[in-house]
Amino acid sequence: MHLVVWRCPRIEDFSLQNWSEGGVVFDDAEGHLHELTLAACDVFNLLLNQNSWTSLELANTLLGEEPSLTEVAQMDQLLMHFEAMNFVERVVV
Amino acid sequence: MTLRTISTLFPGELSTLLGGRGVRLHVPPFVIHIQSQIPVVSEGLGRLYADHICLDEEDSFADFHVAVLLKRRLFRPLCAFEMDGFQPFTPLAAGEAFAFLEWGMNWCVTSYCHTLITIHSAVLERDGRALILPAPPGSGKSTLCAALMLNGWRLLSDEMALLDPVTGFVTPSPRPVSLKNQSIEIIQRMAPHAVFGPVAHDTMKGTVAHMKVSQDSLARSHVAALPAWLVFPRYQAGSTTRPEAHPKPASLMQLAENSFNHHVHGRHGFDALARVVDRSDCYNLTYSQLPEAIDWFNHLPLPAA
Amino acid sequence: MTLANIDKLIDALYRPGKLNTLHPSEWDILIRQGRHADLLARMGAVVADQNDWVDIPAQPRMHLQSALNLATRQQRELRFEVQQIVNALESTKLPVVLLKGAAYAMSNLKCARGRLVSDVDILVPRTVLSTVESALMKGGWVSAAKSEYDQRYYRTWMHELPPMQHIKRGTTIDVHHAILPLTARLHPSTDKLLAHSLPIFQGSSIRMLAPVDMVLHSATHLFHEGELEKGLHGLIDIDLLLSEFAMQPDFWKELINRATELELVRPLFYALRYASIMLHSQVPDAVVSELERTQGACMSKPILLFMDALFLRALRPPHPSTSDWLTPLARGLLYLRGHWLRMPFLLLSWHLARKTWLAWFPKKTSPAT
Repeated sequence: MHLVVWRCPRIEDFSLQNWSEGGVVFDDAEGHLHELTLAACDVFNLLLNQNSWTSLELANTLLGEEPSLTEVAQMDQLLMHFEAMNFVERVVV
Repeated sequence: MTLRTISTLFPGELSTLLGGRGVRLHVPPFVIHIQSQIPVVSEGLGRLYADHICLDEEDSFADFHVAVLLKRRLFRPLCAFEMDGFQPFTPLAAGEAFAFLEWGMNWCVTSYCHTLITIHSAVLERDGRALILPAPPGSGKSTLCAALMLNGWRLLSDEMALLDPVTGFVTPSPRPVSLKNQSIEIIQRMAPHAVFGPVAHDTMKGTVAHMKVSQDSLARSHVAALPAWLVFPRYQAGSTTRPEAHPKPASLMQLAENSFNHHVHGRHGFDALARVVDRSDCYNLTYSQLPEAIDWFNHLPLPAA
Repeated sequence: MTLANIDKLIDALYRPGKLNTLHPSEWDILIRQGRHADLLARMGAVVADQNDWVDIPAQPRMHLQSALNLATRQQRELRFEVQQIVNALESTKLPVVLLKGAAYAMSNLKCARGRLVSDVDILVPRTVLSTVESALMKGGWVSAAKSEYDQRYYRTWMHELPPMQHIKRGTTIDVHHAILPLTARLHPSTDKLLAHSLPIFQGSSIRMLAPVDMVLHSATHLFHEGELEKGLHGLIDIDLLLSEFAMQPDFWKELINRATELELVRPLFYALRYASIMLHSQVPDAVVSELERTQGACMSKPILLFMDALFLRALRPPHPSTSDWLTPLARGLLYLRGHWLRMPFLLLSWHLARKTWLAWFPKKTSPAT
C-alpha cells in the first residue's frame, strides 16, 4: 500500500513569525513573505520541527484527538497549498 | 576649521559654489556633495537647508555626489539628475529642479544604503519612541507628517525609515517635508510662519513644495528612536477619525511591502521587521479632519511593555 | 603615460592593509572609482575576509558593506535559482553546464567573493536548443526579447537564445550554444568545451567548464567585448582564476595547448599581458615566451603599442579621475572593434544604424513616487 508522507526539504530556509491572529513565513531562498492563518502556522511549525508527517498524523497532533475524514481532507488541501508554494514536498513510500 | 552653515555663506556664495565645484552638506546621517547651475536649486537649498553644515571638500568624504544639470532641448528647458555621472531618470522640466534634487537624494539612499533597512514611510518621535507611517502615495502621509511636526513631534523622516536590523532603532534622516497640491495650502494655513521652498507646478505629482525641517528635528538628528506605533493612514474625504487595531500578520506583510531592501538582509531583515510589528501597537487610521487626527496621535499611549 | 594611477584601487583589492592611511578625500575618490568599476562589493569582500572592518572609517565602510550585502544576497538567491533551473531541465536528461558568474558562485571560486551575479548562463549543444527552450517554458520562463528583430538577432546571428525571464520570479536565464556569436570570425567548439566540463563538486549533477576553459572563456569574453566599462572587473576575474588554478599540475602547458586547439590564443595573449601590467599577475616568463611564439597570439610591435594605448585606457574604471582626453577615443575604437569581431561588415552597419536610431528614444524610469 502506498502512503503519502510530507516533508519540508528546506527547513533552514524558513523563518516563521506568529501571533494569536496568525503569522507570516519568510522564504530566505526566494526572498518572499507569505501570510498564514493560525492553523496553517501550527501545521508549518510541526513540519519545521520534525521531518516526515502524514496528513493524518498532522491532523491528529493539532486536534489532540482522532480527526474526521473531512478534517484529514482539509489537511491534505493545506499541504497541497504548501506544496504549490514550494514549502513542502510529498514522498510516496 | 570653523563650521559654516548655508546661512553664514556670503550673498551669492551659495549659487557660485553650486555652479562651480559644488557644495558639500552634512545632511544627517549622510554627507552629500551637490552641484547645479539652476537658480531654483540654489533658492531651495538657501531656504530649506539654511542651518545645515557645509564641509570642506579637501577634508571630507561625501557619500553621494549629485548634480541637477540644465539640458536645453529645443524650446523647453529641461534638467537631469546625475549621481556621479550616472543619470537614472528621464529629464524633467527645469522648473522642477529642486524637487528633482530631493527625489534624487531619496533614490541615492534606497539604491546604495544596504546596511540599514529602508522602509517607505514617514517617521516621527514623541516621548522617545518612534511612530512609523508607511503609506502609498495618496494616503495623506506627508500632510499628517508635516502637521505632526508642527505639533511638537520630532521628524526623523517624511519619506524613509532607516531601520537598524541589529538594534531595532530607527536612524533619523530629517529632510524637507514634501507636500503636494492642497496639502501645501492646508499646512500653510495651519502654520503661516513655516518656511517653504520653491513651488514646482505641473509635476508628475501635481504641484509640489517642501517645508523646512523644525530646528529641534535637525538638532537631535543624531538621536535614534525605538518604534512604538505602526499606523497605516488613509485619507477619506468626509470620514470621521476612525482608528482600528490592525492585525499583526497583515501589518508585517504591509511593512515588508513598503520596504525597499529587507530581502537584502535575508532572515535578519525579516526578523527585524517582525520585531517592529511585535513590539509596536499597529493601527489603520481612516480620517479627514486633520486636527482630530493629530489629537488622536498625540494621545496614543505607549505600548504595554 | 599621463593617466592617473589606479594603485589605490588595486591596493584595495589585493593589499587592503595599505588603506589604513587614506585621507577622507582619498576614500571619497576610491569609493567612486570602485562603484564605477563595479568593484565595491569585491573591495568589501576583501575587507571582510581579512576581518578588517574596524580599520575602515564609518562612512566608506557603509558603502563597502552595503555593496557586499547586496552581492551576498544575490548569490543566495542565485543558488535557489540554479536549483529551479536544474529541476526544470531534469526531464531533458541533459547536463546543466553553468558559465561565468553562476559557475564561480556555485563552486565557491575566489572570483565569486563580492561578485554581483544576477543572471544565470548555461551552455548547451545547438542541436538541443528547442528542447531546452521548451522545458524552460514549461517551468515558467518566457522569452524577454520583445521585437521580431531582437528575436532574429539572437536566434540567427548570436550565440544564445534571447534571454528568458521567469514570469513569477522575474529572474533571467541566458541559454548559450557557443561562447562566441555565429557571425564571429572565431568558432571555438562547444562540443569540446562540454566534453571537458566537470561537476561543480564531486557527485553534483551541476557542471562547469574545465579550469583552462574557464580562463579562456573569460579572456575571450573580455577581449571580444566592445564595451569595457566593467573591463577591470573582468581582468580581475582572470587574475583570480589564474591564481586559483596555477597550482594545478601542467596548468600553464594545458592552457596554451587548449588555446591553440580552440583558436583562442589572441584573447589569451591579451588577458595575460594586461593582467600582468595592470594587476601584476604572476605569469611565468616561460609561459609568456611560449605564447608569443605561438602563431596568431602576438602581433607586430607598432600594432601592439597601439592596442596597449587602447586597452590600458579602456580597462580602467569609467571615471573622470582615471581617464584622460584620449580615453573616449580609445573606448570608441574598441567598441567598433568589438562589433567587428562579432559581426561581418554589412550586418554590422545595419545593426549599428538601428542602435543609433533607438538611442534617440531611451527607455529610462521616472523618479519613484
